[in-house]
Amino acid sequence: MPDRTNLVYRYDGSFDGLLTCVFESYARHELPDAILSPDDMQTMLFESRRVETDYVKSARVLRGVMSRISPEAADFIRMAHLSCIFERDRRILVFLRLGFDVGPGVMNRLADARVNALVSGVRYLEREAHHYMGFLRFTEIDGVLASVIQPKNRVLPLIDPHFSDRFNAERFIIHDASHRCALMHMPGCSRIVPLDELHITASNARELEIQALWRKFHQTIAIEGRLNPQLQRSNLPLRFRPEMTEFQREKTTGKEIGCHEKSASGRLSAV
Amino acid sequence: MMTTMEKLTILTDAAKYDVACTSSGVGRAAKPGTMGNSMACGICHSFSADGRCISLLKVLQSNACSYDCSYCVNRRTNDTPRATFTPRELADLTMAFYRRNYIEGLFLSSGVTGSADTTMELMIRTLSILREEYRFGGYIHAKAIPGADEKLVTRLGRLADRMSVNLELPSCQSLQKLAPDKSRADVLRPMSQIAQGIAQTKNELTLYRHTPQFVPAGQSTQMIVGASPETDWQILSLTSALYRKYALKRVFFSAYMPVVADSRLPALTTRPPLLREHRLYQADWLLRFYGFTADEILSERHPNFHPLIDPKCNWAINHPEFFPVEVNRADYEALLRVPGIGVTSARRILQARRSGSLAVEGLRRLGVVMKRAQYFLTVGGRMPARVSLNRAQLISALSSEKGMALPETARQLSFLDTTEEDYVKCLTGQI
Repeated sequence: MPDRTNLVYRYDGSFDGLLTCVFESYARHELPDAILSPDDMQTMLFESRRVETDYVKSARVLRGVMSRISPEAADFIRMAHLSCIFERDRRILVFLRLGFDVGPGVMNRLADARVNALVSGVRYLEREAHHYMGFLRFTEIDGVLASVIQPKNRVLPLIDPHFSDRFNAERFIIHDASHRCALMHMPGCSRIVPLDELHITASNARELEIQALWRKFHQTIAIEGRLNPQLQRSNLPLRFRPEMTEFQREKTTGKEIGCHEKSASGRLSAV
Repeated sequence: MMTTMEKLTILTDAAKYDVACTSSGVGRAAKPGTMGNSMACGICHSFSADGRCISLLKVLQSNACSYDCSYCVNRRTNDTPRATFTPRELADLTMAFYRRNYIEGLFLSSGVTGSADTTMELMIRTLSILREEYRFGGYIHAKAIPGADEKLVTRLGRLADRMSVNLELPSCQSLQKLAPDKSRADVLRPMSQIAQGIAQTKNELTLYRHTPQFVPAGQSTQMIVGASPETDWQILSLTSALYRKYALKRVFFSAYMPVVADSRLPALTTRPPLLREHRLYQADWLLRFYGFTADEILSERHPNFHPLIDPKCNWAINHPEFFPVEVNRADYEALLRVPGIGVTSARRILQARRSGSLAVEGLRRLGVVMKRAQYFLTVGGRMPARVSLNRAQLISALSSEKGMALPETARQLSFLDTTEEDYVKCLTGQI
């Protein structure tokens, strides 16, 4: 009996929720046209089914992936689930169905469109995470390092080990404004928590001085005879720049900032 | 008394012509309680308006130079403002930038202030404050000053991740003519000392675990292209010899940017030979990752690069006997010779072949650039191009259209015909 296709799954967006959808798809002989998380805005004409996350079912699916496909495949779909590719969750389901059919060899099928879609998605996620390891900027406020980023993929779990190692003795917070969550780090512990907004305003004289020094360096290091804004743009796309110190305009310690400042040293307020 | 801002401006301006800004070659986790680690692949933190990667805080310790090299902005006789960072000041600036994730570390070079030895001592002081006092674990690239005492080179090498000695010019004669204060021997002595130090440390590490590290990310050098009359072939042969003899990690090329009017140098109006520099990097990539030798790329009879065709395509066009290559059977080395197949796509082909034979559509998904590859390979016995082109037709098919349309001067300035996916990586330092 062919699987029923004209319907939509909705789930809570968690990885376990997605694995529950995979379980349901097998149990009910259904191949949904779409699997939607709360982040997906699409409306569909098809009948939609709400799939409640069930940890027993998700654990069973994960065990199946590990034993019948491979542990690498389990890591791979976990990464794919953090990416932002079009129809991500349905593609993960399609990949797993192929994987359960052909076994561990599925990871080698790079030329197969069903595998390639996820591979490119994961590559995009990793590339963006790598970009943020460099392009992310901290502002120091009262001894805490704070940063806001607007990534397309959920990069926080990927950049966490890097920053938590590099700045292990610091307290820092990185706010992912696109996905409304934040990585919080204190010596010895780091966590990703939901967070809607984070406002960073520096007004400490030393902080502003360091920012000005960095802008000066960035401007001076360019060789006039080789100016090449197109190359600069392809290496450092415009979308990263609003959060980068060197592309922000010089702030002064003037009234404009002082008027919404409570303390003299700066403000870090989270909502 | 000069402010840090004034010093930073002068000493950045004086350092900007140095090419290397890579932070790669060493992976190291942070020690708990200290700041800084290092990623083997290197990280670019920003890009300047000329499109070059900024990974390290690249400054001179001092630009008060007592040498008089004609091609250099910092030469003694040039009327330019002078400044010197105190070691403490520079170490503090590095920490402040690093902590805010502006940089991956420090690239420290210097003009020769006083003697080579006093200059090295000043640099060593800066790095000791960073490493020993602040326990900084980030990346440090330091320049050895030609002519400095061996013991100082060793001390600097224990503090730095990478060291470099600039070869400056591709031949003895040019060096003598344009940099009368430096001799080839002065440059090569620290280079071979560093090479030996690295080899020895590697050897000792296999015997004792706690051997102090010495330049773990290896050694690099750079030379100026276009200030002296050497051919591309001479430069490339020299490059290849440097990789073999001194086990260098990288050789960097810098298109000569006229900064001074001097009868020994090209006129001030000369444009920097950017295309030439670009071709040298492409060829350098072929030497390091594609198994080419310098003599395969250029020869005494053809000593210069083709302006329209990249070196790999050029080799392919001149070696029709090697092609076509069958993607479903060829080994890694043969795949790498095909224009349009790079290191990454060749590896992916090998991996994908394990689960079945490949078709043209699949090759595209693996990242093969079919526009170029189609003339040089067969897929299951069939050639995707379906037509066989003669040499002249191949040249026109493989030339970049942008390169064809532009007049010579504009072409020299254009980076737009970047064809090798690797080239971007090479510029951005992710190697």
